Amino acid sequence: MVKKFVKKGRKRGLSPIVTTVLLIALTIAITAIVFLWFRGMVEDSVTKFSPPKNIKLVCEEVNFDVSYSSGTLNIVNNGDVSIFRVNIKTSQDGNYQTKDITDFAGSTWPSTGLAQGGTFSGNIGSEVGSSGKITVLPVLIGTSSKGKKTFVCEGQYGKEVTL
Amino acid sequence: MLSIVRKKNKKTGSFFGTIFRKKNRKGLSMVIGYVLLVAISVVMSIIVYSWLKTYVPTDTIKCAEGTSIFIRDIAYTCTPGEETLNITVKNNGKFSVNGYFIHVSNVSNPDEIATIDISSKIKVGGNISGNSIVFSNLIYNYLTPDEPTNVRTSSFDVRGYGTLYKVEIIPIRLQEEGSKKKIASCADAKIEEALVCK
Repeated sequence: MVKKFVKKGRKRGLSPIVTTVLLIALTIAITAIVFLWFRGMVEDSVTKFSPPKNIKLVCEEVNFDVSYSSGTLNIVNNGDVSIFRVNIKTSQDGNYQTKDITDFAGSTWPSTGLAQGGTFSGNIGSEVGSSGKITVLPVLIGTSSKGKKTFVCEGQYGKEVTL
Repeated sequence: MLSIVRKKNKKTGSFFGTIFRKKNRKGLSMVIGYVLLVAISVVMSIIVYSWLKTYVPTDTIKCAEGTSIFIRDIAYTCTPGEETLNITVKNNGKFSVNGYFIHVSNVSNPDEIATIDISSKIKVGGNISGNSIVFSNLIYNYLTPDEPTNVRTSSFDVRGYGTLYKVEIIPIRLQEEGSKKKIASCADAKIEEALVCK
């Protein structure tokens, strides 16, 4: 029994080259799988300006004024950061709905956004008329590994307007 | 089993030593191992650094605190067909400015912000640069805090907008960023004035 065991241990098995190749191939395959899985969980970093700055920090620099009167939404970009678009968050009976300004019927939002000192005036009354209040959230455009990408600034950077 | 180990110990010194020697595996040399370790560490450090660097707040173009202008004189003529707006601004701040964004409102509600850009309607007293009025063609900040260049009058043709009720002005400054000069909007120094038809 012991003799058999010892003999078995002396068997050569796989050659070092094959094992090394297998080891490397397995490592690469597992790394690729983990990377692809993890990438889906981690959001893609969006940057703006040169040197690149994370767009979440750029949101702090956005400075704009909003007013709403008789169905007309007015926006003025007072700051140095271009506002690519805005999202309108409406609230009604505790329900919230967010919509891109360009999705409103007959929207006249400029395709290049609002640069420094840019203004917008458009009628959105037909779509938000019954809401108690709206929140205007700036949407910025930056660069990611997949090219140009928009980023919606968080609620704290929005402007709330009571209708 | 124990006897085998002992037997091997007698020959080679240790059981594990026997195994490794027997198979004669070389593996990577120490130098290559260290080189790989250092190279991987450096590459990972570079990747993490470049990613984290984007989260570090950096200095951005920002209008200098203490920048201020005020409307010294305003004249709104609303005779049909001859509507004109003359504005004289004076620098009463600590820093020079180079122009302004100008917006008017034709809605009587004073709470409504002015969104009509009339920069393209300037007749005299400045040049158009994008959607702003500049006084020096982006070379230097013309409107200094001290005399005689601290006052500037501009005239705008405001025909076709109806009756205007309010004007809002945001001063702009040329700020240096590295070797480049960029326009900085002075949102904190924004001023507004009610318009009364003459």
